[in-house]
Amino acid sequence: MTDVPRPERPVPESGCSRREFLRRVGLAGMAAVGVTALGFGLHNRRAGVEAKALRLPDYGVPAAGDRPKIVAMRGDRVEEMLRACLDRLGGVERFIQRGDEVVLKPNVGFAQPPSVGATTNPAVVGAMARICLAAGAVTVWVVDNPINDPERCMKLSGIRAAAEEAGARVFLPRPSAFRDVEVPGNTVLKKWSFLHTPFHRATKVIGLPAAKHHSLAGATLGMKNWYGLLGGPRNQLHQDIHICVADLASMVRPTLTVLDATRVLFQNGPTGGSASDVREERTLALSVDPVALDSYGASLLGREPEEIGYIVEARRRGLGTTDLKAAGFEMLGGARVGGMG
Amino acid sequence: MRLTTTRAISQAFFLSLFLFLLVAAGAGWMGGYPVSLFLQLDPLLATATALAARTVYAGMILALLVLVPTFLLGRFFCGWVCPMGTLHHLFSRLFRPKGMKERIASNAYRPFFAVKYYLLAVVLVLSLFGVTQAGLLDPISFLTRGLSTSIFPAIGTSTGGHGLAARVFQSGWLPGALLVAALLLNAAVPRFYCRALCPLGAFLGAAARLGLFHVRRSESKCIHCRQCVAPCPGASDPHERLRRSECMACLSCRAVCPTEAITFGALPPEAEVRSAPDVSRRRILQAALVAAVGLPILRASLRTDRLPPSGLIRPPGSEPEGAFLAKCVKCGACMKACPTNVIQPALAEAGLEGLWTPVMVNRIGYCEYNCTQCGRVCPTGAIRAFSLAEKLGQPPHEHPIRIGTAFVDRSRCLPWGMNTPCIVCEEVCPVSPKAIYIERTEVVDSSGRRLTVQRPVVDPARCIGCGLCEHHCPVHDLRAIRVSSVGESRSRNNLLLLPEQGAQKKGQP
Repeated sequence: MTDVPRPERPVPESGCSRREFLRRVGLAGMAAVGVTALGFGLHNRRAGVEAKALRLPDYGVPAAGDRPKIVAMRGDRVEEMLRACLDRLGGVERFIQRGDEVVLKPNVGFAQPPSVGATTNPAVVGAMARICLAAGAVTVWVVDNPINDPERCMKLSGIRAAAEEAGARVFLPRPSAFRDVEVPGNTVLKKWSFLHTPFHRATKVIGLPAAKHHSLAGATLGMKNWYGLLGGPRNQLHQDIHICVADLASMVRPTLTVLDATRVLFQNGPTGGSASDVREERTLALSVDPVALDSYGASLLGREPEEIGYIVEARRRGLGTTDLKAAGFEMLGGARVGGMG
Repeated sequence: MRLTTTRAISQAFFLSLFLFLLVAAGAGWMGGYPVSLFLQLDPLLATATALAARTVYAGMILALLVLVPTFLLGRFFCGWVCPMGTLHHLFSRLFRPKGMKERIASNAYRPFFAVKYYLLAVVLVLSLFGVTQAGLLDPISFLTRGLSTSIFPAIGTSTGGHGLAARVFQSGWLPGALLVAALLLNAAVPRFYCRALCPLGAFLGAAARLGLFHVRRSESKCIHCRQCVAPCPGASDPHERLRRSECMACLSCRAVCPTEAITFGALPPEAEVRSAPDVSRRRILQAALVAAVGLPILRASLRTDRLPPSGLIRPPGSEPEGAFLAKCVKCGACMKACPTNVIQPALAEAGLEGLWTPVMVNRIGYCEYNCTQCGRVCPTGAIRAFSLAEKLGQPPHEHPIRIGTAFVDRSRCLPWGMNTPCIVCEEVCPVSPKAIYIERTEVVDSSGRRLTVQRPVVDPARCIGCGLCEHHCPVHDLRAIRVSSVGESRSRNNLLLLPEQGAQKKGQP
């Protein structure tokens, strides 16, 4: 202990020590930077301006001039029929490439068994998922926001089992999955709460509607199937159903639509409930033109396209044609199974 | 392994099993699990419903598995099995005082522990007159209800649960608040609920009077250290003359005794123990009298079985209201099992007697067409087990089960009152052919435009009262189509149509 004790640092009467000074300045500085960062982080510059709604991209593929826009086929082997139809439309590789994330949208609207025809045939969902995955898709989502409880609908319709067996993943709606999505053009919907989560990374979207009778809309087919992706008080749309379904067709531009008419719910739709409401039609129709597909679907329900307001409105908007001949409609395998009735 | 360790494992096992079965009772994967097992094992619920309804329903016979061994072992159920008891055990440990003296003091017997016996007397006398209130305080019912309608939904909401996990229950905070309060009472007196309130404990305590085995203390070996009182959950005074009706046969006293003075043995001399509960016969009679006199006063108000209220819509398969109230133990198992959340605890809809009994609130859910879960989980048959064919009226059944009937409120309905297209109700109606049909009418709107609107009309012979139409009606607050209880299959006086008329119309295409 030979050191000479260091003299105490002189402390100015009105001030603090250097150490305390540094500590206090440091803390105050950090607090200042912190609140400033927080303030700017939360800052909404555009006071009073609504957040911009999202818009869905066009998932369609380029037109192939020599190919028909719509084909249909009758039979019982769903997967073979799908493959044959896809071949005629230009091959599966026209629609699905390696690395695609695919959203499949079947109609899973009701907690009913597949036999009553209120939901898309699970075999169609499973087969389409398998085809997409075999074509190199990395993920296949199966998604719907049904009218009945989603979990129960997926289970009772058999669609969850079929999708998962094929290697696809079922996406159940939850509140955080919805975003306001803009509907382009002069529309009634403008923007609407939409089940967006599985779409934000999707590169391809395939509709898998079922063909069903519907008192208000006349028929529920491909374009009306997108209704099942809406949230919010969507049952208000019935007040102007035809314009709203046309709006949906403007909003969602799919890669492809596959109409499941293996069973047609020709009366008492869209819920069904009895085997006597269902006709075994054994038909699948695939189309890149949603208007043409619904026109064909209407004929399966004994309706003329001109009778169904939303088909006429969608045609007026240039979303497709009701002229099946112009769309190059072909009934595949017609020689073997006979023409369409 | 020490016996007390075995007991702790048993408690943990049964609590876990209880929670697992309760979780399994929700969701679509209920599968073949016996989700109401604990309610069926409950001898108080079995006895109360048997007194009230004069029948032991299906699985309730399992209650013998608890009651019969009680004649052998005393209140082993409370100490080894009861999930509510185990929760109280855990909470009393949480609030346990530090010192040995304080612990011994906290487990001293107090005269007000006899309250549970008076409550039991009231409950059983009420049951004799056909009013089942055992479920209000019965621990299994209390816990099932609190977890199903309050705690689980709270967990579901706060963890962002969706679909089946997101549940709401009208005034659901109440059963949960009561459960939390009951658990917190352990801070005042350990196992307060078990010792002072539990009517099942009282029931088993009365049965334990006949118990052949119980804890006995050797006077010659005892050094009167009182250490055996410190862990005693029942406050059964093991250090002197055991209160047999309070002892939960947990055997903690035996484990801590330094001189091995305490043993568990068969048929010791009666003088060693206090067999009967600490209640006076006079008080029990008074309690019974209160119930017998109070009941008519209670019933002087409007009875729901005489004059059915429009909003009292019971789940499909429910018994007629009188039998329903005799059987329902308000456990909330049906509310947990219902996939759509439509089954809600009644607050005032069913009168004072019907507090927490299940009612359907179609704004919250709807009765799923293909579902039979509520009937499968109901332990007492208040909602009897019904098959899907029976519910839907498929052969050999002539009629579907009607829950009520839908009525269009024409002043609020968009097509009827405002010439605006809608018919969502027709669209979602699950019956085939639909119970809501369309009337096409040409109307003139406010701008003089002629248009055709489709207006919904209910066919009462086809309507089953499932409430899907009401649930999906876009007139969001007071729905423009609403189900009321009239026409319900279970009632003979709440009829709408002549039975033959309903049958004839059903046959039409």
